[in-house]
Amino acid sequence: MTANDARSKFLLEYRDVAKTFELGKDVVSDFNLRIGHGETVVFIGPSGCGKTTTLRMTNRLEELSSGNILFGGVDTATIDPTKLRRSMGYVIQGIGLFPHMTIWENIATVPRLKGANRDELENIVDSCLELMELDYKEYAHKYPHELSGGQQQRVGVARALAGNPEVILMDEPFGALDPIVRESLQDELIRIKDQLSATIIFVTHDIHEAIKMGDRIVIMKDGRIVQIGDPLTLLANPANDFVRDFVGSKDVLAQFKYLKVADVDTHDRPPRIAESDSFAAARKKFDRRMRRYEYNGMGDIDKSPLVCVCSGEGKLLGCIDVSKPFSDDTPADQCMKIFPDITENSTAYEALSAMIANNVTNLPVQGEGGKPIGAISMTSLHDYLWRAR
Amino acid sequence: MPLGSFIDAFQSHFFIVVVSVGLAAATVIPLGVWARNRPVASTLILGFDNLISTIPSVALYGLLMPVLAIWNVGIGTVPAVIALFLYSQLPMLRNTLVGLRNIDPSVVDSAIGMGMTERQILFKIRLPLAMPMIMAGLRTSAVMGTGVASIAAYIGAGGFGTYIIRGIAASDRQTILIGAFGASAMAIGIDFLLGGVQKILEGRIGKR
Repeated sequence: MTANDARSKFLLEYRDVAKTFELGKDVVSDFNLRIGHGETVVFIGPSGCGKTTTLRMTNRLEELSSGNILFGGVDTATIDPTKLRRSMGYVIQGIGLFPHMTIWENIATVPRLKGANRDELENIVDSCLELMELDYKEYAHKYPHELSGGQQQRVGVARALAGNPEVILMDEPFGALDPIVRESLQDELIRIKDQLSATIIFVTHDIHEAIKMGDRIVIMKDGRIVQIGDPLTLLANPANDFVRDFVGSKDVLAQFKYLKVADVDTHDRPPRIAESDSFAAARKKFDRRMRRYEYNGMGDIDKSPLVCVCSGEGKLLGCIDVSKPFSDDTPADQCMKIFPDITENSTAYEALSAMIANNVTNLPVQGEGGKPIGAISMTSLHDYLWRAR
Repeated sequence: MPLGSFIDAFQSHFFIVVVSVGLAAATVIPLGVWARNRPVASTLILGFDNLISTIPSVALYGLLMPVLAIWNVGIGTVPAVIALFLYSQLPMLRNTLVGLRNIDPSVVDSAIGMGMTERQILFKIRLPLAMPMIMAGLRTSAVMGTGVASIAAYIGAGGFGTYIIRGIAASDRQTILIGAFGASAMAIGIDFLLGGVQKILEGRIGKR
């Protein structure tokens, strides 16, 4: 690996960053962090923990007292602040749209500063509005005060994206919005960051937002990093009581909201029968499976009496509970039950809710084309929790 | 005191107002921009302007006369313009400061964060946003100045004040009314014109 590769491996690198205000109070100290390309890192902590200051040091809205921040391997102290800021998107809680400019002009700000011409600006504004799902005809020539708070912040995000930034800095961007709008903007941002593989630093004080948005979460307290980790690690292995209380590790079910079905053991594929088969065929398949388990000494495995009914192409149509008193010749489609679709991308919470709501202890997991590729069960969720501990 | 034609009175009155208020605008608005984040300086300047405003206009002319007499311009247009220049400062300065200081800090923060230079922020963000307040100050100054300019007739500056003074001296109500009508019509006219200018400026930089 050449020196150049080593340098460009991380987009941002904080080295022993510290900030002391005039009164001698340490706002941030010993801050060390490396952020890779395409990563979303959330800074979180109680107010006054230094998260916003750290964010603002990144684009030199605050100067460092000591240490360095490297941006693409270059010390930001050596980069002209206005140039640095134009290569970083910036979204704040107060939105900060320019009230005397149209949405079009607001979004065009940074590309215009970078010297884009009229045609380029038109294209940029058009694509940014489309990305944020705002209709060009309806919104481009409106003024910010004519939009709702949620729409304004959509424009705020669009404006930050317009400069084609290498990293987007977001300082509690959804903090002032009502919960429903906040939720939809979070989903939107997740979609966009996946689409653009954008690097984002996101400051919040809301742990649910942090867990939802962050690939990694940096928990801060009194200007220091307490723990860095992905959401599930923080939930399952909090470094101390502060983190435990802060992330709410006691709430086991909350973890399931962030746990994907793919993360849980789902390899145990349930038995399948064809659409044209009868109830007897289902029971036969199931009994055979049970005998095999016993033979292999897997007596304690989940014995939920479910058999999948599949179409000719292998698509899951429904499930038959073989413990139910149907007559042997009942056609499969008349004794099967249809459950909510669970895929590998569903959350464990969705799977668990579906199991409880339908009074079953396992559910088939569907893969491509709706084919059953495995099953998630209460037992596998339980195993996951206790293995993680 | 010779009673010139109505047109002459209009011209000299208009000249005094436009020159003095124009000069005040040209100096005070940049001064306000400079002083907006200098609390001590802006307090001192505002204090000075407040002090000036407490001096009755006739007294101010009286104060200026002996000083300007050194250059042989103790009476006439020069002291009138200087006095009016001083009077028109306060509303404009105050409005400029208030307009520039009342800008939503998040707007400025995001402008800085987006990589605008200090100069770009001033001309593209701060001044356009403060413009309605600054224009309101300018209009107040112009209307007030038109009134005060009438009194400048006492020191031989001409204008509609000449009619008023002459009318009072001769107890001629009609002559007084001509002067008063002329001055107030001019005040209304100037305000209307400046209102038009404000509309055009707002149209160009957008509404809020």
